[in-house]
Amino acid sequence: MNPQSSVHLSQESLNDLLIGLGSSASQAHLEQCASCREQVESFRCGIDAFNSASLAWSESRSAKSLPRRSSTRHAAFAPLAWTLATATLLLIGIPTWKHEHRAPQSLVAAQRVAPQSAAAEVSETEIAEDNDLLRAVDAALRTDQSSPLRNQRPRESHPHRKVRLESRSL
Amino acid sequence: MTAIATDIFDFDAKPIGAIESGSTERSRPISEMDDIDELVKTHRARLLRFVLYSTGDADLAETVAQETLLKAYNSRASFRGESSVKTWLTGIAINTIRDHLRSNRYRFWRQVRSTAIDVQEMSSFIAADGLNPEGLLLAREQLKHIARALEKLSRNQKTVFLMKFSEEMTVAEISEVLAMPVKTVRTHLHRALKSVRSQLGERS
Repeated sequence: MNPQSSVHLSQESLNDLLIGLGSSASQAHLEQCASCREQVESFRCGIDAFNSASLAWSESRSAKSLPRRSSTRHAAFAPLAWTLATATLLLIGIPTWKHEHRAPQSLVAAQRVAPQSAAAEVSETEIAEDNDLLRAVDAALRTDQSSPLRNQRPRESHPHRKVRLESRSL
Repeated sequence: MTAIATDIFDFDAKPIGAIESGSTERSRPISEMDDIDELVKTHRARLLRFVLYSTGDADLAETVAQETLLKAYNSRASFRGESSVKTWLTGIAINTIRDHLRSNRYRFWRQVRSTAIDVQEMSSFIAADGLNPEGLLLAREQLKHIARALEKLSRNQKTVFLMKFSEEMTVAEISEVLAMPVKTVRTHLHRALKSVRSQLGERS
């Protein structure tokens, strides 16, 4: 057995080697001692696996969550793009807004028209009925039967009443 | 052993000056930082992983990763180019995490919902290339043990451990980013390693 490898490296020396601050003596021992080398290799393999897996995980996560950004070359066109977007929005928005604000009025108008037509139909019927009634009254009045009130003279009473009667006689 | 320095996510701590966005402007090489798409494409997944394991909260990690990239892009002119973009971003992420952790809103939501890391789901992302079913199972178990070991670490130990072993930063870089003495970084790393390795040792 090599005398150098008979005494293994202390944990502190091994840690120093792993950190990258190992002495040349420790480095020399490592080259000859399989046991110490195995410890160092085992740790490095574990860390490599950890690093590669965690990086792969991070990359997959980045790909999922990161929104696509526009290139900085296009940054100069950003104000133009915003202006165009605003103009488009206004072009679409204003007519839409106007349309939406007119729509209820036309609805109201339509609602107004519908009852009016119904009311017109009702009133025509009523007028016809009224006319019939008036014709009947007129016909009844044309008969020769004199009214009992015709021969009666108006009484002297309240001036207002008199005036009213006079106006009636006129 | 050296006493552990103040928590890097301490609510009262000032932002880490060297990497805080808005530092003094200096010349820097043209990099992927001028294109946000490139910045996101290159660094988002790494940042997400770092924040996820630093905080243990998947939803918060998403938010912090997004904010970090946005902050970095907006203050790219202040990037000195003295460190790598990755190191700079890590520093901004640490400050952003701290901002979130100290907000009352976060504290409230932390109490009402839990979006913990799904280790089971994550272990399914281990590449099966060249692994037999037994090897794959072993690798998945290893990942679960490391993830559980990380959960048991203190915030400082966890952050330093991730910076070293996942972000592959040097001790000097970690020290600079966290404005922490090298000795303290080493202490945190030793403690974290001891804990993680013992957890892995339990497996075998």
